[in-house]
Amino acid sequence: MLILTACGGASDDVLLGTWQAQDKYYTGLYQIIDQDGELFGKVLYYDDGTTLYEFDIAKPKYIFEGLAYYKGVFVDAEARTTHKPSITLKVLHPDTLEVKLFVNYQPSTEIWVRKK
Amino acid sequence: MKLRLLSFLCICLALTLSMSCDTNPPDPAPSAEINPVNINEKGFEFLDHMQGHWVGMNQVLSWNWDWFAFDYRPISSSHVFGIFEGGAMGNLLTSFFVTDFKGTRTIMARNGGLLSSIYRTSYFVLDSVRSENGEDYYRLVDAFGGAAIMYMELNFKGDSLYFNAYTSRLGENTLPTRHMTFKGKKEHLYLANTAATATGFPENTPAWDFSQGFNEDFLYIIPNETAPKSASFLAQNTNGDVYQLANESGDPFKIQDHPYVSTLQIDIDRNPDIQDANLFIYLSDLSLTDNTGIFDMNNFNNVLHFPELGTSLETFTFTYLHPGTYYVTVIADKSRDGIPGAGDITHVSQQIEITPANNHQISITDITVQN
Repeated sequence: MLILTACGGASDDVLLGTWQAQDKYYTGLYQIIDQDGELFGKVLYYDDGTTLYEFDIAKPKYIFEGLAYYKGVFVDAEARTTHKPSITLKVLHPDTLEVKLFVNYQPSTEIWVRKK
Repeated sequence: MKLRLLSFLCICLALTLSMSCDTNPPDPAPSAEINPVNINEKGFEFLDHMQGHWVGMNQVLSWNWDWFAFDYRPISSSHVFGIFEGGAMGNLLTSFFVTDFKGTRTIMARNGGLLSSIYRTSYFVLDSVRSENGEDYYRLVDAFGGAAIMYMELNFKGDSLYFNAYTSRLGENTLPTRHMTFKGKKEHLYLANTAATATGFPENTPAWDFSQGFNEDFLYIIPNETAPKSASFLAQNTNGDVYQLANESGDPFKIQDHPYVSTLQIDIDRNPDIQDANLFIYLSDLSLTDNTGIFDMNNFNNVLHFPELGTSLETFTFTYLHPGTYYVTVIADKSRDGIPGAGDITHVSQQIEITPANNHQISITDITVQN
């Protein structure tokens, strides 16, 4: 069982900002924002060759909605109910994140670089 | 090209068994409303788009293949088929065919394979078609649970194919997780064209009948669940072959029902020099060696199948094999670098003619050429 604590042990501020996914299979641009005390990963742009999305305020898309800090990584809040992380973010450097996306514990890993 | 086939196939198995339970939809999970595209109005051209030898790269979760290929050819007038043969651990197929699904003439996909003695088949139905800016887009969703469970998207841009498979997540605004991404270019269309001529492809006629949907008594139910969530069929038996397991699973469209395709058994003589080596088995439509048996990379994009055998294994059988002329090349990975080349032991590529709906066999006995 995955037990998450709410935002203890690490500053959320390091995640705030705009991030570019470094991946040869798709283009992704994300903005991590603080929304009423919760971290949201807003999708600004996503193109994997079949799905194309550009941010639409009427139809927002998120890669995560809420994060919790657990054993050195940020884990999506969805895991509080499912007990299975669907995304984790690890701070490698203030400008670099290691992001893992999971399907039943099987990860896909990508690097996000801060867009300045 | 570095293949970690055992891990890849185990991941595919975990994915396919877990897809439905990973989304945790509200209980109970009734069959979703699915609106198939009527191909009498649009979308029939998808099958023609899909045929071809696609060469590119593939990602499944964390695994990347810088070189990967799918060989899609017609096997009937309304069915196009492609399979990835992984080797001793199993295979993974996705085929596309015309059918009547619950009153609508449409296209369905049959996805699955035999992995580690587990047979699984899942069915998808075409529910979205779009053409704009020179791109042709198609979406197929789980034929029982719909897009809330899993779906695949294919986009054709010129001679390029983008083929993605997704598992949905909780929340209407949440981006789904992409668990397979294939990008490739169409090569060697003459292979598919030959099959098209032989089978009368394409024709808007059902390759199989799903007008009554599925017998829900046979749909796979995940352990600890009480109802099926996906149009999936599953059977497991360490002593069973694909024919037996297909019957046990209740799969409504079994390998026995697929016309035109054949099998090829390859028996390999492991001489003392290659006893403990992993073996790369290649089926290609051009020779991969010169006439002395030295490996030549120049024709590698003509490779159609590329399974691997672990140490001590000496035989492998291709199933659902498209008829045609192939070169068989077995390479012992003596260098242990995961790719064919310097340091490995090969033989002169051997040609074989695969005739339709037949079982074939070839022995490779001269793997002695040091590269």
